[in-house]
Amino acid sequence: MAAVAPERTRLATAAGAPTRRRRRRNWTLAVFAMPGLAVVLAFHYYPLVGNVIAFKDYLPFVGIWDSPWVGWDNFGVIVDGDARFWNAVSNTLVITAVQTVFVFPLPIVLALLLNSLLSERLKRIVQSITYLPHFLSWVIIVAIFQTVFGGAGSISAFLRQHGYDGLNIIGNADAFIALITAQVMWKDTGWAAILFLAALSQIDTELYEASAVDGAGRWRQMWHVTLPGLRGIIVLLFILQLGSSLTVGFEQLILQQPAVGLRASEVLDTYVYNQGVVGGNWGEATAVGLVKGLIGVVLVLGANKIAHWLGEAGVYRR
Amino acid sequence: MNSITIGRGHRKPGPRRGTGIRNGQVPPHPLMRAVKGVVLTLVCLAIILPFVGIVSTSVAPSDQVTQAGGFVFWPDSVDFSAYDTIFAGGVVTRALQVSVFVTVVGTALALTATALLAYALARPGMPGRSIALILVLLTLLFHPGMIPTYLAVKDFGLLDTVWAMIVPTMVSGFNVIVMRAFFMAIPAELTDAATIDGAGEWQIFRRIVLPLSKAILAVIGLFYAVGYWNSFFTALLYLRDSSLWPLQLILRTYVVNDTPLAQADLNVEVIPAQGSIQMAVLVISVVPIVLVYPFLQKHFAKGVLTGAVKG
Amino acid sequence: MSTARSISRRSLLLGGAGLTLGIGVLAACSTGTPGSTRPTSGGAGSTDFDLPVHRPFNGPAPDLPGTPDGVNPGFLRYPEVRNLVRTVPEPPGDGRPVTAMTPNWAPARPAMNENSFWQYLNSQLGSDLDVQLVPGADYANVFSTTVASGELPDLFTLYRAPRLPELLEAEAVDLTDHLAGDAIAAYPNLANIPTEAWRFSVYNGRIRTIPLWRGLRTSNVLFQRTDLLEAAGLPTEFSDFDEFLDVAREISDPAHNRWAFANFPMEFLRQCLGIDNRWTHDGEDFVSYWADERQADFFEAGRKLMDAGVVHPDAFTGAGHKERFMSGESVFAADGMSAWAAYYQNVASSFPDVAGTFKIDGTRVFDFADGYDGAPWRGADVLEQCGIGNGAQDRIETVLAVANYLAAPIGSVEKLASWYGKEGDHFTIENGEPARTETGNVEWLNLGLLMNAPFEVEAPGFPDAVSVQHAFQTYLNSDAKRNPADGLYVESLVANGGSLDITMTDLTNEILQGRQDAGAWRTAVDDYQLNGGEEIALELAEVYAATRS
Repeated sequence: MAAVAPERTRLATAAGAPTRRRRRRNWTLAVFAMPGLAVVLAFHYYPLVGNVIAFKDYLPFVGIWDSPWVGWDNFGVIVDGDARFWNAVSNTLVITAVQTVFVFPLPIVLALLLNSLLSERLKRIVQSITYLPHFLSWVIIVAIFQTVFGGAGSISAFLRQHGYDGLNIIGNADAFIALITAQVMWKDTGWAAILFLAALSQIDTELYEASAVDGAGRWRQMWHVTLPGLRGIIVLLFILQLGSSLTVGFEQLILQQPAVGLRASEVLDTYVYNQGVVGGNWGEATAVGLVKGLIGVVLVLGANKIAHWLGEAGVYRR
Repeated sequence: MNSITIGRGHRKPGPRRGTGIRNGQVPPHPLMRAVKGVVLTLVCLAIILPFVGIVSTSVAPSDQVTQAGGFVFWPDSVDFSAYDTIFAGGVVTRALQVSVFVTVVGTALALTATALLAYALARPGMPGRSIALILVLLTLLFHPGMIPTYLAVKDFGLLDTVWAMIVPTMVSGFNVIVMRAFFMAIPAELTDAATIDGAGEWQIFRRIVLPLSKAILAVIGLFYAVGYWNSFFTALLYLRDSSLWPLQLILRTYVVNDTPLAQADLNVEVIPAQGSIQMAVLVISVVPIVLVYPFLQKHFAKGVLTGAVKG
Repeated sequence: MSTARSISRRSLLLGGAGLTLGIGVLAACSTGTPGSTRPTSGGAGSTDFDLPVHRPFNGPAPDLPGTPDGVNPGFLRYPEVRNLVRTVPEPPGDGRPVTAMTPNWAPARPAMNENSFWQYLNSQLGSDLDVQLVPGADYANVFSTTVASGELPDLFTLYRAPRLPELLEAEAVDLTDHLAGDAIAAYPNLANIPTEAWRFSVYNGRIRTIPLWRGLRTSNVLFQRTDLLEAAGLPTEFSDFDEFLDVAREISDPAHNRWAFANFPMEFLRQCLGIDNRWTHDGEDFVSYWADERQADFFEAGRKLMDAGVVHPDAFTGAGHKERFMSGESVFAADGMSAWAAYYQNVASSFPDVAGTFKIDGTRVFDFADGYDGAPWRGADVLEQCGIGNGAQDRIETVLAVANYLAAPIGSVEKLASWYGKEGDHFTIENGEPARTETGNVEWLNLGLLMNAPFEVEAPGFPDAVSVQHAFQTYLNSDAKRNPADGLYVESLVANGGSLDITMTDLTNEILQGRQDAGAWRTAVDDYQLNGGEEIALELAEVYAATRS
């Protein structure tokens, strides 16, 4: 069914309204697109021009245009293998990898669990509870984790009173990835499940009924109906995740950097911030950001290509 | 060849209650149900307990809070002084109004612009469609940076207006893409039929596409609303006039002093806000969303139930 | 009484202030060297004018006098209102708004139109003070974007931004002609700022900011809970590290959530070891304290503290130490001296049970062991500076007059008005001292980081906090080492120093917590020197030499 729908959409246009009418219709569509595109151009592309400072010795008070050109100098930090830069790169990649493996599947699992609940009310209650943490700011979440898991926090105090050592999690560079991953899980799993639930609710009931008639059990239904129904959205989100794989929670990390040290917690985004806004090396920071963005584009285009080979729609298709 | 992601088809309202089989799904094995119950209960507890702690801390007496290290799971006695402190002087009340305005107007505008753009991109035949599509896609990868964006906001004359909080974030590429995918999955017969009946794009959009898309509109609307509700950084950078500051920014001043960042830079007398005040701040910022969500969710369900064929 | 100090031979040759002023006007036409990115001076060396003369405020005398070299005057009680002196006879404003921007660490304030305190202040100033109170933690971002927009407000708290001299040259008013030498007499409250402070305000040879003189208030202190130590029958001063460690052991009781140290006493230990304040300077070369041989002893001693279980488990998280110290969970806490009075005030409001007995002091630095010469460190005399944006060029006298108003010291009518507001509405007199009303508490604007008198020590209701702090400052003033780099503007230090220090601090933390071997330190120091430490040291020596020539 899914495979057919787009064909039909295409047919709709080909199914030949007269050219004159179609042209008028096109114009209407352009009008539709206008407000949205205007915002995109004004606030995503117009400022992008500012990236020229990657090739300049940018001084904020001199201005973008009057700062002197320096060619590729600012990219030196990437080419020369600056230790802090590569530390940031490797942390970024490790954190993304861990989060992709452990965080990405969770909302799917939660959505499936919720979807299989028979009681609508129970489903809604559970869902309402699980999305709540999404609304907490990182300041609060970091604070809560600290008061619960800190060396003198609730759990440690309990352990010590019973003769054990306290926890050594907060401020421990070795436990840092586990800590931030747990934080992300706690915060966003319920929220991310919303999209999957929406997709699940769109799966045609007839498919389930038909498979039930064919004698499919629960697992077979899951395998043959539910998961294929989710495949599109999973692929879409996975590709987007790849595209942003060089981006890991800025606010979350910068809040915890003083406690854990830069060796474990510096990622590309905090590096750009620390170098640029704090350190004043605007040009260098922008150059790093630019390269990061380009790599993101390549990753998404690549993943999208692969999705197409696998017969999925991916993010876009012309 | 078009993309689809979310809507894989449209379902009819199926048998819902009493039959044991819902939506044609085979009921789970009792053991599985037990496991599921345990897992979901644990998940809910892991989330609820801290929230209970937040609410408890916000009403707990301050000496209990400090003795417990800033966080209590159950208050010895109930004391609303933290809320009194926050609401004193009318700053928070005013900010609440600003936030509601930004969220309501912002979400309405954002949803409109996004839906129209997504529709234009979903329908074939718009001139420059593929370029427009790529423009939208690339926004997912590039963030122009703080200073260039600030200068853009300044160039467009939005500085120090409430629109600075609304307009720059009005169109999220991600939301456009998701909505476009949804629109593309709407069976073509419906739009075809309308076209043959002589309906223009506006009528098709308004009469056919929108009613079928309530679910996605609810989801995306929620995304935007949460984004607007929780945003503070735009306000911080773009608004000098503090009477235009939204709730989050005001509330942040109660919480932020406790962040490690604060101590690093300036040697100043930072008076840490009490734990109870911080948690009260939190409760205030979360409550409106918790209140609104059930309505949206109901809408969700309704939107989903409106079957395509029925329309 | 004038304590003007001639600071360059050229200005000596030129003589009187009038002449200097004339030269200043001429020089203003050719300020700056276009294209130069490296300032050769941050100090006062290459100037050709007199620094502003010092004319101390002549009002109600403090109970505990300050000294011009750093001890803050202490007020055990707020001066009686009827004795207050008027320092600004007429409202300084011109009716047009004066814009301003400063970090605010307190909860947000009601906006001007709903804020009677603010309106009262405006009426006193004769201009609306359109001040943007930026949440403190976000000040760096907001300052950066504001600089980029080219629209710095009339008055702004300077952020330690990179390329500061050029920034100020491009966007801030050159104040030299208005303030140098005797010219400052037109602004009596600015003239109350010690001459020495103005050295921090000279960039590329011109006065670009107004310094906020903090004196010893910037120093860091290892606070101790004297009350708890005494109650436990333990000493409050220590003769060497072994005794210190014993006391820490004695007072710690992890099973009952008590650890001697709320955070790790980094600087204190280094001071006891005799390590220099950030840089060792032998009159010629600068050497970073990271490279000091005694850092090895520091790690050894630090590991002893850690192994003894006397350091709070969350000591390295960078937060929460204030609460631990106030609640009595810990007995020692390293903190800025500014926290002194705030501790008393917070304990009174948040820990009423403790408040009756709460007593703190700074821990005296001891000689670590035989053969070590321990000495405390003192902070830079100036941290904040107030710049005046170019937009105020055509009404610079007005804006300076507003700054002058805001710089009024304790003992003046203006300080009472700008700090406490209007009697009856925002404060009442209780036991002879001003106390804020509820409205006052909610509405008052803390502009203390925008413009301020030389810092005073006062804490209405807590005379102990004042006298003990004053005694500690007096102790520091006799003995403490300065950081020889204070007041020198060195670009490489601003650009790289921070991140280099973070790397070293991170490693310090890891070694102390046993995650890295102490042997890693030597390699790290080599890396530090290679990655910019040496460059900073050389540049410091250069700039230092230039200021003395």
